[in-house]
Amino acid sequence: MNSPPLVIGLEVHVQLRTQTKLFSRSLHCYGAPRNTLVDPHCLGLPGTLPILQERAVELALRLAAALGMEISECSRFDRKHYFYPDLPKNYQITQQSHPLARGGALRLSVDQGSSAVAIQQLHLEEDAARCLHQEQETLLDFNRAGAPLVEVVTDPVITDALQAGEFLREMRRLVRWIGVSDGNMNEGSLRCDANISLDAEGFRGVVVEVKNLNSIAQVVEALDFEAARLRRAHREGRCPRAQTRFWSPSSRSTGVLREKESRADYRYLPDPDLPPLRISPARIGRAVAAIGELPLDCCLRFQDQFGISEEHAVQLTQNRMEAEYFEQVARRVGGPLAASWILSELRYHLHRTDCTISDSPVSAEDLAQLLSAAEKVSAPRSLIRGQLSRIFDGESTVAGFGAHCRRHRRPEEEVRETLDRILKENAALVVDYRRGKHGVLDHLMGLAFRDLGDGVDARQLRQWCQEELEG
Amino acid sequence: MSELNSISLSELCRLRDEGVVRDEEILDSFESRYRQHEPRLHAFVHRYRSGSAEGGILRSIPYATKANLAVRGQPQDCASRLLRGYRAPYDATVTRRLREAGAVVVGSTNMDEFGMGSTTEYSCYGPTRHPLDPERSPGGSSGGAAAAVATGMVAFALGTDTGGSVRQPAAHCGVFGLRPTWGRISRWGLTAFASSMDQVGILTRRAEDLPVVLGLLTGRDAFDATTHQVPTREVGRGDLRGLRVAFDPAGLGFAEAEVAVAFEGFVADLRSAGAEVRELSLPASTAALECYLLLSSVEAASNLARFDGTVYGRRRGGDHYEEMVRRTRSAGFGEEVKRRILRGTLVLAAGESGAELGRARRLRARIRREQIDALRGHDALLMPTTPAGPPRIGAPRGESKQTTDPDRFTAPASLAGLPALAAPAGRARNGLPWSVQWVGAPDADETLIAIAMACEAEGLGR
Repeated sequence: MNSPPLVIGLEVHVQLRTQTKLFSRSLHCYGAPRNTLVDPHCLGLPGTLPILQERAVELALRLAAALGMEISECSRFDRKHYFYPDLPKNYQITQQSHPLARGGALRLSVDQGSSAVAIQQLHLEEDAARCLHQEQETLLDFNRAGAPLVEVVTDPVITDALQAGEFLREMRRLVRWIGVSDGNMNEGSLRCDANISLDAEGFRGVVVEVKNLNSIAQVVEALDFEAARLRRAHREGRCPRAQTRFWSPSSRSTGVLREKESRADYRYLPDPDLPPLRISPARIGRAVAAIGELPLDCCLRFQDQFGISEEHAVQLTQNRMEAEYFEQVARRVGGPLAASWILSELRYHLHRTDCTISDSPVSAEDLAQLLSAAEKVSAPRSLIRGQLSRIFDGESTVAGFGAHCRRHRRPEEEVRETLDRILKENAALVVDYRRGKHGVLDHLMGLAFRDLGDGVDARQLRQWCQEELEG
Repeated sequence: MSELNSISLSELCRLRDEGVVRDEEILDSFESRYRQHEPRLHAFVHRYRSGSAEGGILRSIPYATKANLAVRGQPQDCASRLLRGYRAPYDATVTRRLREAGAVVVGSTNMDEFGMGSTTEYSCYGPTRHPLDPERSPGGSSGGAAAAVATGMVAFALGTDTGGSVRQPAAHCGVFGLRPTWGRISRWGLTAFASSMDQVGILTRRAEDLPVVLGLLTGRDAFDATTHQVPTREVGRGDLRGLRVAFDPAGLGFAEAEVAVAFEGFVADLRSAGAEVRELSLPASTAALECYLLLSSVEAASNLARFDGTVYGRRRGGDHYEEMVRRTRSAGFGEEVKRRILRGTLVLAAGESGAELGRARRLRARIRREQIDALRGHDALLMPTTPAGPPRIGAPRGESKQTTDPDRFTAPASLAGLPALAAPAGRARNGLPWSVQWVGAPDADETLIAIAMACEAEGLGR
């Protein structure tokens, strides 16, 4: 018997990158000392009322537009009731019956854009406080209470765990790209609950929800685990149960959190404190304009326009600043060169000096200048690498790099002697080469560089080396 | 200087500005009334003084607030055991605006717990007594406020009105009680009972005092998204001649005979003063009471969910969260509050599909349409404020009293969000006050005040 197909839907919570909470002017940010970012509203004090902060709406609209969704001209807020210590009012303000946007899809990078996951709806809602469970008691941190979230709900169209992971990676890239969220799953600014069921007799509609998924890898692993569990139940003819389960990273398995609530248990009520949210067509237009080119389009364009590999294009379009940086450099020195330098050397130095691409000591203009100067004099990679490192450490500048290269140039006879010696020492490789294994050329070049250091023209060296081998 | 307690607000301010009375004399004069009446009435549940050093048009004018409104640093316990000891860390918008005008809040008045009740007997502090008959209630839920205003303990008082909680005690105590158009006064700082109907109201001894306070409180507030701006309007005394008034005679069937007779007398007086009083039928509004009880309970169940003892309030311990919440709420809420929460929860749990909730919402929309349509051809709708006089304390309440439910005549304006003004209309045979209620079109609050001032001037209901 074939195992029945999986039906997976995701509920993704994206914390919006605003200064204030969704319904009050209290600030929110990750990592502040506990209970320092609070105000009467987010503590649910008597007499407080929600005031919708427009910046959150703006960012939510931008995401909806980027997903190609139909934005509602009039959405509403509802109260979702349940008693839990992290919910100060014991209801959450969300948009249940009239969400901000419906429809749309997220294109995935696989299959060059032909694959997409349909989105059901996107709505605004407030975040809950954080529960810090101790041995004997639970402490509460209200810094996060009331932080602005959008929940993006997919159609149940995802067919396996890997595709779910793909979706989340693409979603993370998108929210970062258009500037609506930090998209950090480990900090909770991107969260995911997964709903999974089997498309089989008796299993349809019996959905298991998995919570507490703190990384994309965990989502994939948890869904694989649940898929196996459901399929085992199916094989053994057991009835599945609709449950909410949690992922335990330590045991790498899921456990029951609770039997699933039905819809009426939340006792939804239109929130009488908030008037309907009206969005003018002009505002939708502004949201669309604010998106610009989407990462996937940019990724394809980079491959076309600059001739770089898909892998590099994907890496370079993870965030907008880096993509813009790449484009600036690539226009001057060509795509492959720009890509290889940015993805290896630049990233390494940024990481080493704890900088981001936007505050990099080496601007795109600098790097372009450095690389084109190096190209003119055919400076070897190691020389450029050393210069870049010195610039990062403030010991040198881009200007005068060409002269620096020429100063270090070794005389031709010295290079040819070294080359001869290396070929003699590696006679076996020379034989390999002559039998058609041209890949050994790079290895031989590497050996020559090791001995010669910076002062050699790489193109010249390769040419001489080929002459020797073929001659 | 005992007359300071009976003159109008503007007269009082004039005497102060001309130096005839000192600021301290004003406060003392009202304070002495407090000492005289409070032991007998129990109008206040918290006594304090909170004002601002800055002057303003109401400088040194004492007023009373209600125990469900926030005054920074003072109790806001809503007369509930659950919130005893809780103090507001911020000012309600109404408190702030009056503070900025120089007014001094001298305490919080008694009320039915969370505003649910019409006698103050559901207060955890026990009932307030009627100023004219200690066996009776001043009404509620803003009963303490009405008693304090009637006896001159304060120059005016704030109350809150969900289904009639300002108008009904005002009626029983013979003072004016205005429930403004929903959204004209910010609810920021008002402990929610049924948000879509909750409204801060004003109680005064004279109609002409109402626009003074209303003018200070009204207007859009950055802390309440449901407020709206209305251009300020001068309120002059209206003219009864040519005034177009309508009432639904079918409604009178719900009033006690004496009230009905007095009402007909008032209508006759209006007509002889030159007003045009027409009869019309408002069938949907006649059915408002049940609709009000259901919808307000649903919102109450939601609004009162937050009182679980986690962050504030009187927590009762438990081995786990659910037990803590259950014990806190079981011990903290009174019987009436529990009844309404349970009812609201059951209705809401039936969901949007639940026929009851849908029917009530549709009826509410019809009531609003019906009243606004009627007001297109009339300046105001008229009815008695209450179906009966002040109730006896300890009288049986609840389901059996449906016919003369105190919210009977006040609920329609609450559901429709319309301004409504309870105005004294004379005394019943037992010497206790009775009252008429004027209901106006959206934002026609000033029109209602002008009508009440005209009636006052013409001696109607004296």
